[in-house]
Amino acid sequence: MIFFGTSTVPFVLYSSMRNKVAKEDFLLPDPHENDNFFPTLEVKRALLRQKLNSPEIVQMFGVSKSYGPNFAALKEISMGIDRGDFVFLTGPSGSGKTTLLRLLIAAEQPTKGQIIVNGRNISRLQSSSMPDYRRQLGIVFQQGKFLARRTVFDNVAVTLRARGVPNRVIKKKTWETLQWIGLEDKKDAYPLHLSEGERQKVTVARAVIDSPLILVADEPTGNLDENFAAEIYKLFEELNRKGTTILFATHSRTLADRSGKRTIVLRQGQVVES
Amino acid sequence: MGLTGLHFVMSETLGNLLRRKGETFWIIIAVTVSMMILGAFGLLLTNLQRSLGNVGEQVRVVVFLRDDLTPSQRSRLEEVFLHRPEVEKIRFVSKEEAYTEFTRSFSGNRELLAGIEGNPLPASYLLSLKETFRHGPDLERLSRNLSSLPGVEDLEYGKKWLERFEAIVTVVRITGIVIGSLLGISIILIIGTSIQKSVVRRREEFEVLQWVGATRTMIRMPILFEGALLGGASAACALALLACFFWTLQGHLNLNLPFAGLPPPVFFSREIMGGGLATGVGLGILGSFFVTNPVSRNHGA
Repeated sequence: MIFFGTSTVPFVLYSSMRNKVAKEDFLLPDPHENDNFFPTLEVKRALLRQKLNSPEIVQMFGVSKSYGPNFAALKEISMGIDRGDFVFLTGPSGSGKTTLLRLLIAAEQPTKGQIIVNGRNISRLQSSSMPDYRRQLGIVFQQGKFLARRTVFDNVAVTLRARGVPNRVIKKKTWETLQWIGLEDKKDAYPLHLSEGERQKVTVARAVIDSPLILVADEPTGNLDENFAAEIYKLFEELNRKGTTILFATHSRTLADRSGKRTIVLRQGQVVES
Repeated sequence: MGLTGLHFVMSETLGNLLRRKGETFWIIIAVTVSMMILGAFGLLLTNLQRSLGNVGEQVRVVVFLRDDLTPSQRSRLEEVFLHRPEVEKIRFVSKEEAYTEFTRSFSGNRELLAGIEGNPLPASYLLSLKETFRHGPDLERLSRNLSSLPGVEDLEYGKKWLERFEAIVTVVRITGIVIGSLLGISIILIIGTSIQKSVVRRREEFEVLQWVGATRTMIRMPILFEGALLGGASAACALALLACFFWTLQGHLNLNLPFAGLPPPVFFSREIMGGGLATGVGLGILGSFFVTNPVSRNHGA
């Protein structure tokens, strides 16, 4: 009886874990897309660990990305980011920062290696699972993208609308988020009528309104003057204190050094400091 | 797609159309005009076919008999007529009946009636034909077969008139199909091009939707719905305008057509109007479908 009981526990644990692991995590490789696809034991362990709320929320295993035979944007990157971390990703232009972020938001697939994010193998994410994955992220680019013919309020609310949140909640949360970023008096304005800094605040608001697990920001302060850059950075810090993991790509090493936060330095597609 | 997804799709669709009111208005005008031309052809064709059916009911073969026909020969002829597969029913018109009918028809022309001595009109059989045999070639074959029968003097069925009428209907039908196909293609192109323009302008919007986790359906469906609404609205406008024109002309046509031996014109039946609306919706969806494929490939990932 005791034997039966003790052997059942790991079996039940294993079965519940198996159910949590999506099929696509272990799909067969497509030789044209990823020549090193088979998940190694290490990757399988990472998947299961993340599903059990391990400290790591992002893990990369030998990730490479090439564009054609002669240009490798990323070379064999292996690294991890813990839950609730605020990590700077720096390096000179062309070092592979944006490529790495694009792999993380599943805009592209790695040529080689695997990426595990919050218990999901995103190197082989199926298109039908993409929206579900992206609902865990907040994405901010240097050049903000907008719904040009819609007001600031609609631009921020679109995240919740696309996720099927009821109207009452959308109104409340959007208003709160606009207050948080200090744009409540511009809620009826159109993006074209805002300053660069205000526009970037709108994209931040849109990215964080649904409390993402990870905020991925690619040079979010690159086009802003010092004051707006400081404001945006403060917003990120506040968000991080609430538990959101932040990956902040910037070419400004000074900003990263001044913050005293963990900094990953990329050079020619390789991690040179982590 | 759940209820919330449907709500998102509907509000996106209506919002997009209303945000570009001017453009929407001109697309509807252009498609309405094309659909009106299509509808006018349809209406003409429907009424011509109806007239053909009406004329068909009046298509009869008149078999004139020789004056020296004996009663036994006549009954043999009657038997032959009744056994023909083309013949639905027959009616015998005696010499006397023919004369009475003739004098009644020309009662106003006393000089003509005074010039006639005796009764020169022959007895005849009026053969009514089954619907499937009321066309030129059938009638010609029948008259050829009957004219050689003993006791038959002559035959008449308005051959040239019927052939001309059938030719007109064929020409209108072919023209209708050609013009209908061209207009159908142009409607698809008008809707497709205008939606494509709007899709290109809203590329950034689709990117935003993609990053915030909108599904492929949420990105694609509003575009298809836009096409469907534009096509449906245009078809409804075209039908309403055609109906207005038709009822304005109807009074005038009702007065004149019966004199031409044609039945009064009719508008489309409810079923055809429903079909017209569905065609508009279908063409709209088809137009936007070609545009949404690249959208979902690029943005719905």
